[in-house]
Amino acid sequence: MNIEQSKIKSPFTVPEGYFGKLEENILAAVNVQTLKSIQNIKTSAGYFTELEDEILSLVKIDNLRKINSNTTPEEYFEDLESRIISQVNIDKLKDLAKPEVSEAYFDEMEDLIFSKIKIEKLKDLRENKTPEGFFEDLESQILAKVQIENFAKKAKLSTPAGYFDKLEESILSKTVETEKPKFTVVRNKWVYFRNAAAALLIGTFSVLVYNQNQPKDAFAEISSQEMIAYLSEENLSETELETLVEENTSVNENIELTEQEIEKYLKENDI
Amino acid sequence: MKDEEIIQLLANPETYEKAFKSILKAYKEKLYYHIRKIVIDHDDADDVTQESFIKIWRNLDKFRGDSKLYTWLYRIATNEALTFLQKKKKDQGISIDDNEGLVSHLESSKSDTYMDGEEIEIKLQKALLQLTDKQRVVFNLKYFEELKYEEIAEITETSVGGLKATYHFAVKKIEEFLTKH
Repeated sequence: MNIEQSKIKSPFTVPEGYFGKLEENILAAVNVQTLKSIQNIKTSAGYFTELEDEILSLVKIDNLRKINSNTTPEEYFEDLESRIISQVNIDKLKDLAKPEVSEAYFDEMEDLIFSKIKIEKLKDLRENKTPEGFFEDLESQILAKVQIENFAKKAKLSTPAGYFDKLEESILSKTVETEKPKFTVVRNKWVYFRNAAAALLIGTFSVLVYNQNQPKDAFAEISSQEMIAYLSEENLSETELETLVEENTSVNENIELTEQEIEKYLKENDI
Repeated sequence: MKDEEIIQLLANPETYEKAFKSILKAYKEKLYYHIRKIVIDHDDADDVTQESFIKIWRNLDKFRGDSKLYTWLYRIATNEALTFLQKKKKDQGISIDDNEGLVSHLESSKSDTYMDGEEIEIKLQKALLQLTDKQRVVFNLKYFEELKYEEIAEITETSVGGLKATYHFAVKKIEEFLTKH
């Protein structure tokens, strides 16, 4: 039998409407798979704890809202709004009703009060018995006082508005802003200390070389100026400088130098 | 929708769903029958077809277009069907090349509403069950689907030369069976 020539068909069949349902089933199964894959998405560590906290916070907020809504009468917030607006309007009106006063108003008021007090005192004095010639003296005293006050007022020289600001600007422009200091200000006392330390270091090492006649080391080859510049520029702390000096000066502990030798060296090196 | 249009949809992940629905519409019957010829039983074929399409859905992003769409789909369906059969035989404790269970099923379902073939058609299927599962796949693709060896080679991931030998061997064995029975 030649099957290739016979072309035998497949005997398999399917229930009626099967492929329509198959399509639906597959799409449903794919959706389930998609949902599963969504559920399998990894979450960061502590995600669910944070989520729980957030949910609890939201629940608390919701509860608070409920409490608020329970304790306030109906339309409370509408009334509250109108009451707040009314209060704001009242405050605005109060502000408008406030008469504006000059800056010197209260000082003048104080003077007026004192004057009134004086007048009242004078009235009291008038009502009471006064010593003989009291009023003449009083008059002269008052006139004298008035004259003194007038004099004081005249003596109180007035200045144009903004005069002192302009004065300050004028002075600053003529001084600070035009004249630069010829010499820079020494930053701090440690600069002196550095220079002193440099001198000391240079001195001790140079003397050592000078007296012992030993071969110069790398440190000794550094010039004084370089050393000073280095120590001035380097931001060495107090401790660092102390350590540096101590370490290097300790080398010279066993060297006995006479005062003459030191003076000679300092003169020679112009230190 | 043509394969070329579906492939264009597969180029963009946003159109995967549309692509998948098009594949399902175009290939559900073809893949079902391909699977049914391997697993024989309708319910098994139904399960495997659904699993195959789910696998297609999951792997849409892996389709690179370096093979034809239908060979890629057939490869997935073939692998799913063969894997299913292997598992089934393993569960039943029978040899991987032993298709006696499938032959019994074929005979018992002659009056089945899902089996409507003539005597010779069922006889051919019984003859096919004398082959190994992989030989059956090659024969089915060549004989029923009328695919080219090159296409079958893509699906089964074997050489064209080997496929030709397999097919001719299968034809010879089937003819012998049909002659004897």
